Amino acid sequence: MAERVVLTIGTRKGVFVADAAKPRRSFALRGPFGPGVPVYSTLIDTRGTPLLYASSCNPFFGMKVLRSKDLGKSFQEAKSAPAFPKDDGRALINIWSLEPGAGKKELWCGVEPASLFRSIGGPEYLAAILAQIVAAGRDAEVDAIPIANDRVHAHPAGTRLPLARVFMVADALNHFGTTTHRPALHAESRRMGGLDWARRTATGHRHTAQ
Amino acid sequence: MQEFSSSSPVRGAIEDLERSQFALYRNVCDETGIVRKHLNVFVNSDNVRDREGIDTTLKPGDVLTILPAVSGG
Repeated sequence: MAERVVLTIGTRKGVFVADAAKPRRSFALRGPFGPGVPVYSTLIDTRGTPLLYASSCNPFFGMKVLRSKDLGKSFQEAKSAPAFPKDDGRALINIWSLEPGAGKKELWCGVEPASLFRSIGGPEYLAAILAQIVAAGRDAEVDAIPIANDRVHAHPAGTRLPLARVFMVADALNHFGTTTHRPALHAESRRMGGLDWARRTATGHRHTAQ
Repeated sequence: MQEFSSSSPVRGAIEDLERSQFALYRNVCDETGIVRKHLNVFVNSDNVRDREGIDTTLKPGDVLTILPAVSGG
C-alpha cells in the first residue's frame, strides 16, 4: 500500500481529515466529523495500528473523545471520556490536549479545570481510554502536554494566564510536582532532539485551528 | 420512553436513567449530577426550573421530557 500523509484539523465545527500521497501535491479533505462542536485537540497515534483521536467539546451534552480506526474515514464516540468522580465536585469544561504516553497503550489528556487524566491501559484500552486523574493544578486548564521518554510536562494555557505560570512536572514514576521554571521544559525538549515545543508542534502531524 | 409505576421525584427518574442508560445519563447530567445548563427538563408542560427543580414530584400519568435548548449561528 502506498504511503499516505494524514493531517487532522480541529475546528469549532468538528474535526476534518486531509490526506494525500507522500509528495503532498494535493490533499483530499473529509469531514467535518462529530456533532458540529469544537474540537480543540487531535492526535494521530501511530504506536500500533494507527488510531485517530479528537476531543469533542459539546457545551450541550458534555465532553467526548472521538476515535477513528480507519484513518479518518469515520469517527465513533469512545465508550468513555475523562470525567471527575462525583464527590470531586468539579465538572469537565473542555478537553484541551491529547498525547500518547509510555508504551503502546498509555494516553494523556489535559483538561479544564486544570487536571491531567491518564488512560488505564489494559485490555479495555480501546474502549475505555481515559479514566484516572493523575494530577490537578491550581490554574484554569491544562493546555499542552509535551512528553519525552517517560517524563511528562503539563502547562496551563497561556491565553487566560500571566506569563509567570505554574508548570506541572512528573518524574519517571509520574509523581507530580509544580514549578514556575519554564527552562525545565526546554531542557526536556532538548532530549527530544533539540526541538522546542513550538517546533515540535510545527513539524508534527497535528494541527488545531479554531 | 420509560414508565414508572409509583410517584417519585424527577430526581428518582434521573437516578434510574443513571443506572439503566449511563451514556444517555451523562449527556443529561454532568459529573456532579447536575442537569446540564443547556438542557431543560419538563414535567408535562412545566419546566422543572419553574417548580421544585429535580425535586418536583411526578404523579402517575405525568410525562417527563428532556429537551435541549435550540440555538444556532
